[in-house]
Amino acid sequence: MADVHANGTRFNVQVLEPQARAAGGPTLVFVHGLVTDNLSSFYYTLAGPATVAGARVILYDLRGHGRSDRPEDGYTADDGVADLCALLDALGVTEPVHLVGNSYGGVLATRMAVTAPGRVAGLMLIEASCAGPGAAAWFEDMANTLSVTALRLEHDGARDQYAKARQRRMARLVRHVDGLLNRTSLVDDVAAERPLRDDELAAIRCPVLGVYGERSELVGAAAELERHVPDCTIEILPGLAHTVLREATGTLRDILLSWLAEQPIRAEQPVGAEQPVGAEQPVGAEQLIGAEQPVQAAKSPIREGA
Amino acid sequence: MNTTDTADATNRTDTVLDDVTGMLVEIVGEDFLLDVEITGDTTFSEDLALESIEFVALAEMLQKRYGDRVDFAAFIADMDLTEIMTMSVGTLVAYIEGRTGAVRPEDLAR
Repeated sequence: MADVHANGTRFNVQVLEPQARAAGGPTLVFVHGLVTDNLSSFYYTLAGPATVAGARVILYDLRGHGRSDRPEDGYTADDGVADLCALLDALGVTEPVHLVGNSYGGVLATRMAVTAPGRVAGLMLIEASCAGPGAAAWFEDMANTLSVTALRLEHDGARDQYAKARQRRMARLVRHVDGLLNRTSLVDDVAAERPLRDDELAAIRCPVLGVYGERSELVGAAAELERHVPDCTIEILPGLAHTVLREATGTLRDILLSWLAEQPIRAEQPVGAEQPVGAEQPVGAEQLIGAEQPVQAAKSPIREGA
Repeated sequence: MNTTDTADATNRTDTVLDDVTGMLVEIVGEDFLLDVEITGDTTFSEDLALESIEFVALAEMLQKRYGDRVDFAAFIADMDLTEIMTMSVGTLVAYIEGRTGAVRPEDLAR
C-alpha cells in the first residue's frame, strides 16, 4: 500500500503487520522530522522491532516529504494533525494509536494528543520541544535556518550544477529541499507555529515518554514535559545531541519496546463519539511536517557546489 | 547440475533480474538509467544512487510481485542501512530465487 489519498493529498504510506498480533496489540504510527527526513528513517530502525514485538506499524511521508505529494500550503502543526486524522480514517483505523514522533514529528504528535485526544493512546517523543519558550526559540531558529537555506538554493544555481554533473542523489536532494522551502508555505508555517501552553500539556491524559540527548539544545523540553504532563516518563541519553534516532538506535529500540510492554492491553473498541475524528478539519487544509537535521543536509550541496 | 537445469536456472535468473530492473526503472526514472546497464554486479547505492526511501518502494513492489514468499523485512532484518544500500542487485535476485523455489541459492553462487 503505497498511495493513500487523504485530506486532499496523496500520501506515501507503509503499513507493516505484526509477525504475531496479540489481541489488543497496539497500533504504532511513526511521524518523521522536517525537510530532509522521510519515513525511511523509522522504517530501517524502530519499525521492524515494533512489528516483531506484536505492534501494527504505520509509517507515512509527511506532506511535501519523501514520496508524498508536495502541495503549496498546509504545513502547520494543525494541518499535520488534520492530515494524520484523515489518513487514519482512510486506513480504517478507529482505535486510539500510539504516536512516535522524531524532532518536528514529535511536535505534530503532541499537537494531536492535545487537539484529538480520543485518537491517541500514547506518545513517544524523540527530541521534540513542544511547549513554552524553548519551543518558541526552536521554531524561530528552524524558520531562520530554513530561510537562509532557501535563499541560497534560490540564488546559487545548485540545482543545475548537480543535474549537469549527473550526481543523482545530490541533485534530487537539492531539488526536493528547494521545492519544499521555496515553493511551499512550510517556512512561513514553521515561523508562525505556536508553542503549546502549560495547561494544554497538563490536559494530556495518555502516557508520554520523552527521550532526549544529554547534549541536545532541546533537552530543556524534558523538564517542561515532566513538570506539566501527568503521566510522563523521561529518558536522557548520555553524550548524545539531537541525532539520537540515528546514533542510539539500539537504545531507543529497547526503550520503545519496554515502554510498549508496560502499556495496558486495551479492548478493541472504536473511537467514541466524544472523540474528534477530523470533522473539524478545514477543507483544503493539508499537510504535515516533521524533520531531522534539515539544515546540515541542505547546506552541504551548496558548499560543494560553490 | 546438467545442461537443462543450468538453462532453466539462467532463464529464471534473467526473469527475476528483468523484473527487478523494471521496478528500478519505475522508481529511479528512465532518464538516469539510460547509461547504466543493470546486471547482477550493479550496486544499489554506488551505481544506481538509490535513496533509502526508494529502497522502501522497491521492497513494496517486490512484495506485490512475489507475495509473502519474499519477506523483504526478514531479509534485511540483520543488516544495517549501509549493508542494505551497498548490496548488489545480484544478491537480491539470488534471495528472490531462493524464496520462490525453482532454484536453490547455492546453484547460483558460482
